[in-house]
Amino acid sequence: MKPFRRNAGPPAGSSPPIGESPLLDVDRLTVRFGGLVAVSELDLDVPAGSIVSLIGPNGAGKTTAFNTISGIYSPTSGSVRFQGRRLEQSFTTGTFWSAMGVGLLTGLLFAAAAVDVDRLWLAVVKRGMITNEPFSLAGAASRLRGYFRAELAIDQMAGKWRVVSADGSDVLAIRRDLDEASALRNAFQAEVTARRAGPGTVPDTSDLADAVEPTSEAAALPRIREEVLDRLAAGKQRIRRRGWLGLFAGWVLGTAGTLAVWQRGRRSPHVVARAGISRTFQNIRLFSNMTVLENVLVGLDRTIPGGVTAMLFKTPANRRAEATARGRGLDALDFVGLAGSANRIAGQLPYGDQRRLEIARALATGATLILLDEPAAGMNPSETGELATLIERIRQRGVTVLLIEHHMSVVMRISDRVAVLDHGVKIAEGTPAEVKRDERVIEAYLGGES
Amino acid sequence: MPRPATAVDVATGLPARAGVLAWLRERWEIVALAVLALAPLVVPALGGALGGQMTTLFIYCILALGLNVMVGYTGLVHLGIAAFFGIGAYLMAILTVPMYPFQIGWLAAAVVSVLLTAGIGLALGAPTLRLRGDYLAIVTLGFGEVVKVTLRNLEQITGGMKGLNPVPPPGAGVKVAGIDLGLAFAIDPRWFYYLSLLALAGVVVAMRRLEHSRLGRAWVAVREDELAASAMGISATRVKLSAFAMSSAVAGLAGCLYAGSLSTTADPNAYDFNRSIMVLCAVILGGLGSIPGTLLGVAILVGFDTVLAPWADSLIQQMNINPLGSSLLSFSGWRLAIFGLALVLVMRYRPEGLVPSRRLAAELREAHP
Amino acid sequence: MSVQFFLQQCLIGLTNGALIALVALGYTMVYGIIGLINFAHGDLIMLGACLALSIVTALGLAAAGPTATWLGIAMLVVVCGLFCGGLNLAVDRIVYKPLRTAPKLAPLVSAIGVSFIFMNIGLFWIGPADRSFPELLPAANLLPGEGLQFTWKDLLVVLVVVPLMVALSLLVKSTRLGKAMRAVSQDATAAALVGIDVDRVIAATFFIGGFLGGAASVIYGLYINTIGFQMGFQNGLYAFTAAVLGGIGSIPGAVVGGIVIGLVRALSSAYVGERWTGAIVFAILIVILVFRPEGLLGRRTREKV
Repeated sequence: MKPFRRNAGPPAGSSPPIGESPLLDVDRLTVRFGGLVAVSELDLDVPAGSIVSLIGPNGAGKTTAFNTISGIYSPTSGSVRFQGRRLEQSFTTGTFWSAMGVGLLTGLLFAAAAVDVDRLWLAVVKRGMITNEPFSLAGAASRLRGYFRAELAIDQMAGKWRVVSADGSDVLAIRRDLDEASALRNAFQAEVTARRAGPGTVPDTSDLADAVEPTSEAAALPRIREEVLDRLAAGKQRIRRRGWLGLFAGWVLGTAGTLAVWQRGRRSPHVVARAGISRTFQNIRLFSNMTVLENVLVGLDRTIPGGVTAMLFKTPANRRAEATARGRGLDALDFVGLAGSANRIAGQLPYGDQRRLEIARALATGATLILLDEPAAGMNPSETGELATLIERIRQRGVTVLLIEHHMSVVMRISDRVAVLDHGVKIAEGTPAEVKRDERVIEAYLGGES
Repeated sequence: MPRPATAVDVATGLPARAGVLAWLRERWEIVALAVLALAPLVVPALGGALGGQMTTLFIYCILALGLNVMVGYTGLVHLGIAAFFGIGAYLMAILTVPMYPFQIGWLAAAVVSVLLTAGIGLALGAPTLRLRGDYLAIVTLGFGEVVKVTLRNLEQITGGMKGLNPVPPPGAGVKVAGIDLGLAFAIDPRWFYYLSLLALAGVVVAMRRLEHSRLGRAWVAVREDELAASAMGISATRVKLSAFAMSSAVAGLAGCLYAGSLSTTADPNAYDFNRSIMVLCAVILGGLGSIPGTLLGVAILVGFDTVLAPWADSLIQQMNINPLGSSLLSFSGWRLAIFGLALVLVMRYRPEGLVPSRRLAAELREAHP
Repeated sequence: MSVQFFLQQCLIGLTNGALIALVALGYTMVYGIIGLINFAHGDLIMLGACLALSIVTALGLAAAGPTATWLGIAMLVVVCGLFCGGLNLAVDRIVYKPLRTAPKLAPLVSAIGVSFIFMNIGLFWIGPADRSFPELLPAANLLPGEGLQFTWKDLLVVLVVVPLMVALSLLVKSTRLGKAMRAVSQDATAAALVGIDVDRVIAATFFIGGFLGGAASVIYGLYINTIGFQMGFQNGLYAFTAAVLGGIGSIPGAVVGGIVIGLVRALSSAYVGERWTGAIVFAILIVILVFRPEGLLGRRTREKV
């Protein structure tokens, strides 16, 4: 028999049981829904290898306590520790790097929007296509730099060469000859650089461009040229600033968003389940259209190795893994006595079998602690007896059991310890025999004078 | 212990079938594949326009199978599958058209676009999949619209309303036994017919395998009871994300084939809400989560649009009952209403679809008295 | 880009937002009560606008005097409201009611189907091309000075939307029906157990949502002046986004969401470019859903175990 302590009201500074720390340690757990206190200052220790029952009248907060332990609800205050650890996803380097990665991606997306990715594409990719040189990354990189420095570029249209701004939106000159256009581009570029440096150093380029303009559309060129050159001289900083600003804003949003999403999902049932706590539900929640075996295989999910590619190509390793899992699934079914129904649809099983299937599914996860929420509900006396035996066999497998049950025959027969909840408060805890004699318990069940 | 094939019938509680029928039920895809593979040898029309139509049909089948991963298996409403179809097509085009410097090989381009499409699906799913299921409908719907508009707006990249073309045929420049493969693809539609049939067969096999693997079970478990699945240690978010990525990847593959077979991306409006809804209709009509159902649904809808509607229209014209050309009296004028009515009636009277999936039938039925 | 320009855009955004909010209310009320995304709502409004156009044309309201015009508009709001409300109610009875206990997917898909049927009706009603809705109101500026424009049309939006919203909030807060609606939206089974006729409450919700949509359709016609059989989709999308943004199921949330979307649309059209408006609204939706999944004013829902 495990050590126990009687507990009427939360003792201040209670010390853990001597000898070993409990497998599950619920410490001053309070769960509040709005104004309603469902569980208040609950202390509960579940030693490894024991069967502990949680009993109490309906609405006492038993299932709420279960839901909080299994990560469905978050505690308002207090803590749940399993094997000495809090059941939360911890902040790992993986979390850090994924936040950074998402931040970087969002940042790039924002930056792309801020610097106008459409024009960027024109400047970097399309511009590279006009001179019949093979595409090279170095060339693309230099054009990318050119775009951010708002440099001038050469463009081809209707067989003529044009000197344009990096994004192609402004045309400064049009020439038939590529070399001539290139020379002109360099001259204009020098002027932009000079204007950036400040007034007084501007070389006169008016004679450069106006000599022979081959088309009538070019007539307006000299007029807009001044304006464009001025704008380009100022524009360099603008596009860069927008790019950096976009990158930064996106990075902040992306990182913060990842962390916000991570924070919300910290205490999720799957985290608790992976730590080794599994459960059944009061109102049976099987995957009712899957077969019985498939239900258990879902429980075994985490033990089956192999990724998507292995599944797609049905590699030998994948076949072996599936076969092993099926074997273990059948073992689990055999353990609860359902091996004969492996291929039936779960929803078509009789009620008692569905409860046992839920237990098999929970065991299949490889849990070390299993929470059973009224497993005997709706069972007849002989089924109830079998269930009690099953629970004892579960314990013999080395799995600790925390049980909510109304059938006192089961509770009193198999429990090492019993805790009694009433209106969210633990009113008694002890061996079945002790609890049976406790006046508060009798009062809670039969109703007191008040 | 592998389950014997006939056990499925026992499990569904369906009446036992005759041997041949049971065999057909289990192995329908081999029969269908054989028939479709031999068809071009027997039906000369497949060398002409019909071949092109069949290719399109196969591509829609692939697209619908992709959508089925999300809506059928995982139970997430996805109203923007056409966006991923479009992303696949445009990525394919960007990587292959002569206008752009990349021009990597057809196969490499297809692989890259499928992976990138899956990545975009992940990027959309990651922030939104933790939300309640209903929100996902609006997010995917909105995403579909945004993709369409973005494809239209980024004129330098996507060619705006003109789209990108010409997308070269696969194997352009590759010579096998003196025949230029690209040329063969360009001239004879049967080449694309076989290519898309092969892709479809591959996707069907892949879906079958996933259905009966760990991932497929997790998808269905999350659909049936997310909380219970989660209490079994399954990360619902990851499972949904994988469904989203798989769905996007398959839709992207369909997009690649589409752009390849048309040799253009067509304009962005080809990837709008209507297309998404047509594919969704096909999946629902045929049977959510059911591979043969999905294929049948696509065949019916595409058949309606390309065979039945033109035929009925020409019939009405021949009978001369519509001399004023009123849209009320043309069959295709009723297209939307017919689709809408079909959806309403299917949901009311046969929610599991024409060829129900074993797993979903009971679930959709149980709520009905 | 002066302060005045900015204020003008805000004014446009607020007016547009009020209109979006009116449509969003229809989504949020139905969702709040039966958890259905009523896809057909946008197309219902399209049909309301078709009716409004037909009435305006039949009565020749475009040529009427000011008194007749205002009376006519009031009549339009009521008639179209009743029409849309009644139609919404009928659709609920015929299509959604038999699916009350079915999985969520069934009514959602049915709603998409109904939206298609509505679109086809609209197509037959006004034809495939966009139709212009007659300008019934003078374009004069009501504000002093040249700076800000606030026309009769803008005033009309305020005159219709504000009283409707006040009436709605009074109805939900203080009437028996309103209390019943709130009860049903929290727990339909429990509401039925305490004697609330759940079906009647749902019917009333559909009617009220439809009525608001009908009123919105008239204002839409008068304010935007162009209607087409496909307008329902785009407007429905914005309105539904507004409802989600504000917190779906929350009535003040829909109003806040509508105004936010209206402002974002106006400002991004002015400062970034009309063609990117949709993308910006979508980006904002994603950001809000990441940081506040329950929406701006929504309640957190707890899964029942």
